Amino acid sequence: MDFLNPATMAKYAAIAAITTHATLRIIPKKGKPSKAPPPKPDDLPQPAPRLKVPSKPTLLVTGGGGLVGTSILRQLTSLGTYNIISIDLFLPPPKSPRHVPQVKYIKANMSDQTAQEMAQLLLHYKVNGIIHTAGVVFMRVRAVKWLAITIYITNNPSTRRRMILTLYETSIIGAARSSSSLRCTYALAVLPSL
Amino acid sequence: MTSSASTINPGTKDVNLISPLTRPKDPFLSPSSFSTDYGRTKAAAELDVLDLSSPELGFYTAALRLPGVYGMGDPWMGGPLSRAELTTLPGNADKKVEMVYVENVAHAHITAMATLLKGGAAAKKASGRAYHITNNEPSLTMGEFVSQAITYFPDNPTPNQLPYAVSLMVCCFVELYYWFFQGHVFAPRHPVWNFTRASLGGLERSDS
Repeated sequence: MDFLNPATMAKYAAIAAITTHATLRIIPKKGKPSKAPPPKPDDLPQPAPRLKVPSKPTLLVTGGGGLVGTSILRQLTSLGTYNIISIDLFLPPPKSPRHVPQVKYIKANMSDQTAQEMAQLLLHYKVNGIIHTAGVVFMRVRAVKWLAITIYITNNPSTRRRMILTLYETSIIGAARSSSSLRCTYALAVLPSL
Repeated sequence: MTSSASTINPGTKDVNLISPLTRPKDPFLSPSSFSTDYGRTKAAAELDVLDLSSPELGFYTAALRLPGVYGMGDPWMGGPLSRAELTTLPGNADKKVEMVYVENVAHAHITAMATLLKGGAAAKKASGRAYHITNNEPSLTMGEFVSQAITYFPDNPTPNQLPYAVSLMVCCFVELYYWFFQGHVFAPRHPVWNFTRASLGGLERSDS
């Protein structure tokens, strides 16, 4: 099919216009039949332009109770342009200087969460980006697991693809000396629309 | 992704002798060249995460390599100073160590995230790369840095300097104690190495 043909394009444009108007039919009120002639297609109200509701991107900050994480949360909330979720082992008490209002805190050990649970969390909150500052608490360094989050890219179903985002453990002071599978890093990722 | 300057610091030499900073993708040093797993695992993870970058799919990743971070409440500087408990410094404290303020680190994260969230050409350009966070100023020696910090905490006594070898020996004993009696790993040698080896940053060292 030649989509670049002007005639073809005009045809599809006309079909699109009819389809749009079909959703905007005027339904006369009961008991009061309108005597006015049926409106011509040109008189029909034009569809209102789709207003893009500025939805705030949602960011997930892991390790939001830590030194760097707390500062990130504070600065993000001061911007006011993001919905912010923080996941950490320990929830800062409300009166603690590390507690940042307007942040959705989730208490969880990311090294205990399965990939499916993390994926569900991302989907539930429609997370757009991750700032990963969580670290391995050295007392639990033997319980480190890799976190694999499966992200389905559904923008185009015909080319549906799967990506694995691995969130790595981070260590501030201690890192396993013998575990070759331990990965220490912070992660910062922007996810495709979920 | 936030990484660490340890990714280019094998732990045996000063950082500024290893590689120019702010290089987008430093060659991965062999795992055996790292004396601590901290830098080795950071480097391995960083490469993995950056390789996940797929701008064509709208999936962007970036790495921020941090030098030493200080701020109120940090466990190695601000916290002990605020409690007047910073009494000992490892080594001679005569090496220049790059330290960045935590608020600047947070700002770097948010800037990077905002760039990646925008998408488009800017995000594609920024994605899949590692960035060093630096003050772009001549670094102070650890002794000078602590001296300046102490001026804000007059209750803290002047720290004593513990010789480097003694510091490492103490750390080894602490590690062995944790390894045998507590059943987990604790590596205090890492901050000792960080504070006793030069780590210089600066945009003039950038090759990107």
